[in-house]
Amino acid sequence: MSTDRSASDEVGDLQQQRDLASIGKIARGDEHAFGDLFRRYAPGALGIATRVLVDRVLAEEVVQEVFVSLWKRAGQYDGSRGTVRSWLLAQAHHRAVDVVRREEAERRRTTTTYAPEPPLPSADDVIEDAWLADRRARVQAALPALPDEQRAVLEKTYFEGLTQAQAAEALGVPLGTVKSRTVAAMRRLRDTLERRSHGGGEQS
Amino acid sequence: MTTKHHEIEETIAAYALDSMSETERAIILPDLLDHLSACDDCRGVYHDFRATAGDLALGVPAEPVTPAFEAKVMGAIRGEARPVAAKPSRSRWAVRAMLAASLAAVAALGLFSYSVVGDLREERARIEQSERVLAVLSDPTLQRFSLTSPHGQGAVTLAVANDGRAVLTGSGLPSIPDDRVFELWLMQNGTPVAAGVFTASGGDAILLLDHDPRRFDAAAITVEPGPAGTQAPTSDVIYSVKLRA
Repeated sequence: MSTDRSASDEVGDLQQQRDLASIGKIARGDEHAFGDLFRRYAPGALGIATRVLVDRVLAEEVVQEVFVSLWKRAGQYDGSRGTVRSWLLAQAHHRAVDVVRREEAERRRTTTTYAPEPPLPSADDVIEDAWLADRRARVQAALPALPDEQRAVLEKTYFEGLTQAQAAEALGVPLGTVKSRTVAAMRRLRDTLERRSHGGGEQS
Repeated sequence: MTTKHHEIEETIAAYALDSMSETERAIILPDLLDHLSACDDCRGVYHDFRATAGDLALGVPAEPVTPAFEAKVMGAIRGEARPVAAKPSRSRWAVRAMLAASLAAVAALGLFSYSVVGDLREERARIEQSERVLAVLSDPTLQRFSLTSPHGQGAVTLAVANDGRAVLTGSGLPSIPDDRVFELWLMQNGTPVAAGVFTASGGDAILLLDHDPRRFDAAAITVEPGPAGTQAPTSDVIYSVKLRA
């Protein structure tokens, strides 16, 4: 098993090297490199944006902004921001949350109740790089393994775009509880997704 | 200390997950930056949580990109002017603009974020500016120089990454008249080079440097006429530190 993990990590490292090379080309105006990066990460970015926004049209706008911004600022990309993958996905999430909170502010002015539309049925036939699909499988295995109360907090905050204070209200628990459960969930996910994946040296 | 680190960890988690209100962000970010610049452990947590938060996006199914959407995005980038040399300009005005952006990010997010519907470009620029500051402050190679004050007031730290990027952070700075600014000087063979001006908000200040401090012997801060500062110091040094022996 641990060989599988480290093999997967090596692919991940290699992928980051490829992504960085793509960023370099994009900074010099290479549309093909941009297209490759777009096809690699746009489905994931669109996935999280659609989840947060519950609206495919808004989600596409957000993802377009993320990638256009990457195109314009590839020359300023800073490797210390982490992998290109997690940076792009985090940007998609950040901007989606931005929009959802603006939308919410709008809604508060116009109506008192809000019933979200059900999410679009998502296609199973999204083609992703095998390595990315593997990463996705690991995250999707790690989430259900969280204690229910920790997962509920991430569900409200990260996946629905609520602030921690709003999540506390929605879940009927004190804000401090939301904060501590969030940290517990993040530690556990980090240990499952990152630490363990560095293979070998287990620590007690 | 443990309690403090625990609180910081909670803050980092909320920040990484985009689950702070903008008001919370504005209040908490200066302290967080300050702490990250001084604490290797918390910087490690920040790195980790940010990576984890990025990957959490993979926790929901991917959405297919339609050919129409791909064509739309490709069309959008072709319509964008290519940025020539992506490096920011190196003028002192650029430094001022960057500083203004950092401080604005810290101080004004709550005011701007939801009101300017449709045009969030400015706010994003501010956020990206904060990200650049954070990127420096979370660099694992960071070396820190604490500037000392003859009056023993406040705390000012120059954090320098081993690629030369640097951020000055200050807290508890003295209040100065509205028409004055703090000016940072980098000393080379006894000659001061103007390295940026800044103001403080509630005693807190952040300055992203456009000089590589590793090429200099010392750093010092004086109070000078605003808004642009001066080309050579005209008042007493209020903070200073030796950068190399």
